[in-house]
Amino acid sequence: MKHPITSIFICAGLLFVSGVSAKVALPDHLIQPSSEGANEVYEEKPTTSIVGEFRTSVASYLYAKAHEYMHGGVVFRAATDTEVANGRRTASHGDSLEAHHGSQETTVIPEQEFDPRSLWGELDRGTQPWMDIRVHGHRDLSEALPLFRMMTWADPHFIEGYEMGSYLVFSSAKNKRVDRAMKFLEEGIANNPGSYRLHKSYGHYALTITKQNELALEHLEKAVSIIEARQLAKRTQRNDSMTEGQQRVAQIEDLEQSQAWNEFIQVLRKLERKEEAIRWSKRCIEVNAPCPSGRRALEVYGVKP
Amino acid sequence: MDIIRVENLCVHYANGRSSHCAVDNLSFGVRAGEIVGFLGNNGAGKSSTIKALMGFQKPSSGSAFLFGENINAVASRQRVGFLPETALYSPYLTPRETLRQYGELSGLSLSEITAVTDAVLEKTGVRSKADVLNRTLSKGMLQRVGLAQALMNRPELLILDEVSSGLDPIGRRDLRTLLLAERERGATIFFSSHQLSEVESVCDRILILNHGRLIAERTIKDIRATEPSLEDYFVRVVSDSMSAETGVSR
Amino acid sequence: MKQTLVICKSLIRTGLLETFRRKEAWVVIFLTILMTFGAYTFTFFGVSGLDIFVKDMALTAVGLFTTIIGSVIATRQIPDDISRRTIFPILSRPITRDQYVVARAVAAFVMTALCFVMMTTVVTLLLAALKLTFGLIFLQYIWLKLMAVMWLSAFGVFLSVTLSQSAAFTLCFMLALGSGAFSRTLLLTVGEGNPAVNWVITFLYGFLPHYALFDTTGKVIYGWKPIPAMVVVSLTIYAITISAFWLYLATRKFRGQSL
Repeated sequence: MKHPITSIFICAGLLFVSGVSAKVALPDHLIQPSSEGANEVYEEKPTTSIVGEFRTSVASYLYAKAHEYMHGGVVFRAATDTEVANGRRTASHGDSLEAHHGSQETTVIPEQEFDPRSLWGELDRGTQPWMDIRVHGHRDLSEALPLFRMMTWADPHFIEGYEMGSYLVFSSAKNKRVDRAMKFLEEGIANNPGSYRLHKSYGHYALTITKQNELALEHLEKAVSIIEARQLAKRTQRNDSMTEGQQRVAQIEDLEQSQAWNEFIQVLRKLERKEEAIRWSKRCIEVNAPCPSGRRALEVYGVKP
Repeated sequence: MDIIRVENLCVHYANGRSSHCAVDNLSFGVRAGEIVGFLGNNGAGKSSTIKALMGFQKPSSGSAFLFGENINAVASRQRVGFLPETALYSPYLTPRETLRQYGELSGLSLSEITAVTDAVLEKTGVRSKADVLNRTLSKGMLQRVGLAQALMNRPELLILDEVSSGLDPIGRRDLRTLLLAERERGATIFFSSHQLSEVESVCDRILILNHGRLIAERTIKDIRATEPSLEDYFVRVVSDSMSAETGVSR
Repeated sequence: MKQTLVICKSLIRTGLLETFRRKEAWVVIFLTILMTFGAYTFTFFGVSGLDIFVKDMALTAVGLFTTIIGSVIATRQIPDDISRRTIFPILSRPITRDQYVVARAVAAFVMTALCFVMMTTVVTLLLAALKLTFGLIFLQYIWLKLMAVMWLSAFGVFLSVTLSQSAAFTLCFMLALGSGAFSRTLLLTVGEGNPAVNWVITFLYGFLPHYALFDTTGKVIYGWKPIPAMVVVSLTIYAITISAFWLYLATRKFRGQSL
């Protein structure tokens, strides 16, 4: 018994020493590529770049795994142009989850009527996790939660991890706990104070679930100010030279930003801050043409857009 | 009847577009109970002939027979014990396990293997190292293991390629004793070696090969009667053959 | 047939001794335990509900190490004998080259299968200790994995008599591990409503290595229902047929080879 205990202590000691050494050797390993001075750090310390790449790769891998978990191991892929065009092999859902696949995803193993492999196809569907994408449900989402915990440990700047993780904490059958979802987002905001998406999500829960309007205002204002500061709206405007993928990303960003604006104006109205609501509504219409909340607010307050 | 019969054997090795002739129209026979030494310089074609005899190398033309059967018939190998040139026996087995494996492959039952193994280990001088891994054995000791495996099935014919390779003087003396004892038992022995003194002391007859061709075939008794030594005879015959070849090529 | 079995038995016994003395089997078992336990250690840091993740890691390790050790064992059987020159004393016995090739493939299969069974047993016990269990489908997983090992052994032996040892290992490992990816890539080219294209795809698909088809890890870890019996039977027939095909090619190739 003496030797295993000694071994454990030696291993623990080595782990501690290697951890401290890594911390000393790579103080900048969590630096964000978009942050100031990041390029200089990457040029001077290639290890920082390598470690950073590793961390983001681990997080992305776990994110993909979480997607698999939600579908019982069924593997998805991007739908081809033909599949998107005819819409025959794209997702619809048998439960309350929003269209998380968009219309752009389909299963790697096709359904029988779209599979030319006959017997091979049957064997594939028989041995691999497979479900009909057109009418599919999801497993208990709580099973995927630990992965979100791990991926945000691996890469604390993995915004999608905090966003989707908090949503699952909130919406999964076993853990309908908005407090835990918001706590998870708080951790994300602490690690990524410049992320408008995390502030927006936090503000959304505060506004719609916990009804903490002041708190919602604080975060939604922050989200909008980040959007304004970075002029993300301008950056993501339609551009003919964009690739299809870039256009999809731009669409999602537009949607996110539009939601942030809408909820920000809603909370201003709830708090009866008329002047601010009018000012921000005008600004919203200026940068984000549809802006339904802004138009509604101006209409209510009798101001012309 | 000849135990080994080789008729007009040719072995060619293809090398890209060209081809190299290792054995050229070779014919000879080995009679039952004989010990025949197969001599020649490096690259003379000894190993190629032995490989062809054992079916490891397909002859380009000609034929060879063991116990009157074509070399492609595996049944005749039941009666043959073969030692390859410098084999490295499975490094993670012991000599005893190695012998068991070759005994099984020869079709011996476990009781037969048990009965034979100790005797063979004793005969080849491997007994003291019977239970250590082959990887820890010296080259000479591995050669003894090789000899031991060749003797496992009490063969009627022993074909030994470079039999004394890696053996020290005591090992070579033991080998001589072993070969003579095997002949006493009734085995026919056909072996290649560069140790001419050893060949002279145990062989009845020798075959000398140069550039794949048989250049001399004489009994040791005859050589002793007419030549100062086998070594002198070998050097003279090979030199003459080389000179003749050079003359022809000129 | 009886003689072939005797040869198989002998080569299997010595092959196993060698595999365990080389410590390869122990290394993969140790690594499997390490990966499984490594995944479980997250629970020590407050992450609970990692059942699927731990099972995933454990069976991924088992599958990966089985493929590695299977490729290594299958592709080194004959080249090792040739490089050590032990092939000469073996083939100097009354055995045909065909019997030798078949016996080497069977030996590779038994050795890899034993390593797989040992890894699976260790993992099952370890997971049971962590209160994680598999359903009935796990038995089908084991059977189909053994069929996959049979395919891998025959294929590895065929490659080893055709290519150099290192090339044979690389190709065997890559084709086994990448078989799923190759199939999926080919499927991407499915032309909807174009029977000619589909016919070509089905034809080409038949020639791809289908090692991944035997891997039911996904269904096991997510607790799916057992696979239909017809699928298991079909895959068993396929494994036997394709292994016999590779062995036939291997014996044809080795028969006329100069050693």
